[in-house]
Amino acid sequence: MNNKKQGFVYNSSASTKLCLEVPADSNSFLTEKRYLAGYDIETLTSKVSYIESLYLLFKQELPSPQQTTLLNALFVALINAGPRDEAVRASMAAGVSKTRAEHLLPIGLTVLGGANNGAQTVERAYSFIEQQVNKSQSDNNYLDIKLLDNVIAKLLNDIPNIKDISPELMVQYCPGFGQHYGSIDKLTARLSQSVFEVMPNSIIFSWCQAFNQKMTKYNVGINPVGLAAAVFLELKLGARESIGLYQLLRAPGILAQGMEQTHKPITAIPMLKDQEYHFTPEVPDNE
Amino acid sequence: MNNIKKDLSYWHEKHNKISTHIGKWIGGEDVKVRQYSLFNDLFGKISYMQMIVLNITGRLISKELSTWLENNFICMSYPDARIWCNQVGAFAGENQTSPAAATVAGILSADSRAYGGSQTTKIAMEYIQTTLIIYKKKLQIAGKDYDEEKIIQEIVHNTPIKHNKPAIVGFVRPVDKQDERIQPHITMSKSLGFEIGEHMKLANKISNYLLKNYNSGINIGGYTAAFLSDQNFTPDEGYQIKNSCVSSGVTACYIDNLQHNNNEFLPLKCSDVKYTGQKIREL
Repeated sequence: MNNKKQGFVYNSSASTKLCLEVPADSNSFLTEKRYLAGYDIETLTSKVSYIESLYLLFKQELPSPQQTTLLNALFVALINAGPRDEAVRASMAAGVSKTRAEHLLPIGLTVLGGANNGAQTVERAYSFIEQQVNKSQSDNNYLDIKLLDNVIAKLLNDIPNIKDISPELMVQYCPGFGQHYGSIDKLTARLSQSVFEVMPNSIIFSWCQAFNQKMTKYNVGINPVGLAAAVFLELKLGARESIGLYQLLRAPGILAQGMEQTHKPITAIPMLKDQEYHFTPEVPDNE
Repeated sequence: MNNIKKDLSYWHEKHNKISTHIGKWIGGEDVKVRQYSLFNDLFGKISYMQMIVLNITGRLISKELSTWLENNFICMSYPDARIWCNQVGAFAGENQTSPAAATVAGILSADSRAYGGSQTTKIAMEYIQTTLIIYKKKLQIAGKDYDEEKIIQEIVHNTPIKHNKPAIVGFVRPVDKQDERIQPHITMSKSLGFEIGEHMKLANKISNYLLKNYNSGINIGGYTAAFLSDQNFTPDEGYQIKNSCVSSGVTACYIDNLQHNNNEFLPLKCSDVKYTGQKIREL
């Protein structure tokens, strides 16, 4: 067949570089030994932390002690976004309304997957910070303050009407940075400071802090998505991988907050009264 | 989404209140759906598909368009567990999840840029709507002595090549077979009284070129995208309307495996998955 006309050719088997399963002698379906990136899972179980094994899965190498501390700090900092976060509230609404318990986590994580400062935004923030840092680096891989000033000035110049910009539009221009209820998210700024201190020589963290400082006068600051993206970028975990890793690190809070509500009556979370529900039908032009 | 600056007063104004145009449940009496009364205007009078589209777009579509969409949905959910989303349903069945979990998992897996009829509908509608504008511009520039095949060739070759074919969502299937759904849709569209609109005419031209040169013509995604564009739906509305179109096939594959023992669906030996990673090493 003409090569142009030959399209999809499917492999005869799946492949992976993450996991090797060695079968038992007596049963080729049964796993006798399992290796993660070459390491025996039975040895890993007794010798490495959860964070180290997580890093191993994504990088196929174990992290340095400093990298472990960094990733661990991020996972603690963002373990629970609190009971007013959309993803957490979704899990809580499901929990209180007696949804099957196994659905709570997927419900919250699905909501968390959104593009409006959700998990999708982490990928964009990762790429945004990576591009800006590359533009701000000198030839010998140091953050060049003059270059950084120019990069930020150009970025600000590209944002129309920056003083009155909505958070939704801000996400388009500098994902990972913005406002929370009209203000800078100071808690996340302090958490970022604490996480970034684990690697004081990181160019990526230095850039984020410098950018954060410059944006303060525009009432814009780093948000949880930006913090996660910066750490994932520092560890070179991958932009697309960052989407799921962000869901993973936020999972415990979503699960715990939702599960707590399952033990309460369905009336434990308010339902708005009719007078608090304002309905104004709009008739489409073509009706 | 409004793009106004949101200061503190904005959030106080929103506090403890829902403001909406979509509808309201008036407990014990009625339900408002947009400008309609559910029990006086809609119940017993419209189809479920009309209701779905009304809730999504605010448009009460015709019975004919509703029938078209319903038949289109029927063609989007085959009970065959080789298809990726259905495989998810089968695994869910084997693991004895709830039917909702199985079906939602299948719907999520079909929310793909490669197949499934939800996200692909949006991508294909964006393509055909944008391409129609480009096509018209090219016609205008070329004047009355235009070479249509050359214009279509330019349009097709403006897309990247993947798997040896132009990667146009809606025109190449992940499986090299002619789409069996096109002819029944053409017949249905005609019998329901729909004329061939300008998006569909262009889609047919692109399809003919691809068939001649790449052995791949329009698929149901491309056909649906052109049809829905001719019915004045936006790409986002297409995505929203078709978001769960694979559900019944997923549920069928779930049911099929629900009574099976663990691991019975397509069991794999250890050696069936090729390992390409690090050699075995000591910690």
